[in-house]
Amino acid sequence: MTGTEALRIESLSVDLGRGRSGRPILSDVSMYVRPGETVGFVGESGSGKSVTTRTVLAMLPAKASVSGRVLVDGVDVLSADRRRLRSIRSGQVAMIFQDPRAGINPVRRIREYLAEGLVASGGRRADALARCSALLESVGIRDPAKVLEQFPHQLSGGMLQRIMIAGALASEPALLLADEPTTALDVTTQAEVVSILERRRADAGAAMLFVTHDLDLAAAICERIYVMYAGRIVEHQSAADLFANPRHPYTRALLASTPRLGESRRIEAIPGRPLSLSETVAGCGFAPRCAFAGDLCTREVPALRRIGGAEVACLRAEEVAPS
Amino acid sequence: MSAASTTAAASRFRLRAIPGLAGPAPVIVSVTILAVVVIAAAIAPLITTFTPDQVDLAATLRPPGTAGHLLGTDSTGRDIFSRVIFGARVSLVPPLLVTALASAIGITLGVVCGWFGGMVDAGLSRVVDFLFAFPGLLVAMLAVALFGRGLTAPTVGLIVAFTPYVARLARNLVIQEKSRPYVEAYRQQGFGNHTIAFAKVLPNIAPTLLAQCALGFGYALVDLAALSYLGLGVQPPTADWGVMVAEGQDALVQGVAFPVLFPCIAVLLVVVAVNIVGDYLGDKLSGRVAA
Repeated sequence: MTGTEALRIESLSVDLGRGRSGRPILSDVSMYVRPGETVGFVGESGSGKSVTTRTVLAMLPAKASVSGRVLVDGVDVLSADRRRLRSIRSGQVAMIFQDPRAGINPVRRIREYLAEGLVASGGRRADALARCSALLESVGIRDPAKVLEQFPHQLSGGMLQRIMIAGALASEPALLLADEPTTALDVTTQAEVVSILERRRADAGAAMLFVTHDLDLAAAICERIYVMYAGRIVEHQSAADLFANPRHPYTRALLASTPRLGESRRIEAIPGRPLSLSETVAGCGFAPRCAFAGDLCTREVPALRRIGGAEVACLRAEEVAPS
Repeated sequence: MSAASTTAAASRFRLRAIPGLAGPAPVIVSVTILAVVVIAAAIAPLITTFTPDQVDLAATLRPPGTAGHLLGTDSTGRDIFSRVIFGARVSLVPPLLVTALASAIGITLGVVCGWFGGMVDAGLSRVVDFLFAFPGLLVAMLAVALFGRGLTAPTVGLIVAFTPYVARLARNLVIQEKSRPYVEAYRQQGFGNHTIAFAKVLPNIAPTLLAQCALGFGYALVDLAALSYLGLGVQPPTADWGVMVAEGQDALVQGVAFPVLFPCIAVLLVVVAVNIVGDYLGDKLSGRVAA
């Protein structure tokens, strides 16, 4: 199995150390993304999704202690030397940020932004400049000649996100990390941007780790979904099964708290609040908010275990979702 | 569009502010003044009728406008117009050097400190703090005490004195800029430290630095004129605005103001004009950054 996946994370733990956080910000995270596959990565704000994706590019918080392995196409980025790391960053893995306005150099024209990305991944400058226009067309921008000469502040958020997608896919990366790419956009633009992202990704044959807190969005484009809570993967199964038969109480609660059209039921909020970084819990991180929590839950950290086609980190998963 | 025109993109928006002449009236006037002064200094021999050091004891302290002396003569009968124009050469080049070198050194130090932080920053910042304790004029006088009178010592002294201002500004700007997400985005695209710091971040903070440099030029000009006035800089009889003010004092005591007045006006015009243009450029360009 190893070496064939576009991304494989093996028992990754990241700890900021005493005084800065009460618990590891990631503990024992394992996941894989096969070539060409779209995998969802869902969780609340602060659950550790972004830290995980950043780790894939070896962008860690300062002075963090890290254990585990992060393999990009079989190469461990955590132990890679600087040169290897730079070539992974510039060519093999591309990242799409949540806020395109912040992620794009504000004083460069769009043409410069696109060209410098191509040059970084080893292209010639003249070729890069020539390709820019085609890149914009590929993400559905109608007037590329005009947009190329504009500055980021002259463009809308949706436009910029499309430009960032174009830039990210320009170097034909094998793996795309999309860190909540549509969160900063309004809903109509969101749908458009996601469809462009998905289409371009499919054209390029890239694998994608799609980070979001929107379960529906994840289900719409992803084959499998990982659910993260308080720095741990709590559930992993195919998107369809996750919706039909959520195993972990947290996933169930997430689904129950999502409003749906044409359904007259109460939206159930999850009681309590997510664990802050300073809080430590002896057992399951979700236990304080969990309706199913028993005595054992507060004492023992549940390991991820296989139930049917799913992986769940819950001691009472069988009772929660009898299959 | 060709590759060349795009590589010029950065300089293109910088230049647009200058020849556009669409700025407010004070800016246009300032640019005109500076242009006239620079051109006049460059072609000085062509537009002056006297050599600046030509003494004529038969025609001392002539008022402006008499006998071909456009701005009159000083107490030894030298043509004030010629001396102001030739003086521009001596008075403008050293401040330019001070500004250019102090900026080059200061920006490099500041970017290195701001970008890399840690020990490098701590060490260099203490040196900068130490230099801050001395006023520019004092450092320049110290340099004169060490290396003797003339233009070299004060120029070097002022470079040393002005570098900390630029360095600290550059450092703070880099630290501020470093935390912005686009910098992280560059990192994730695989750009190296040096490339991001000097090729991406530096151009973004350049407008503010440019404005600071313009102010620095004004200070340097005034300080060097002051040193020459004190007899520590340019030595008489060489024409220099500071020297002219010093030499004109005798006449001033006798109630004749113009030998002092004209070099003073020259200093004033250039310094004010440079500051206005610098301010305007800073505003205009950083407005674009913030937008």
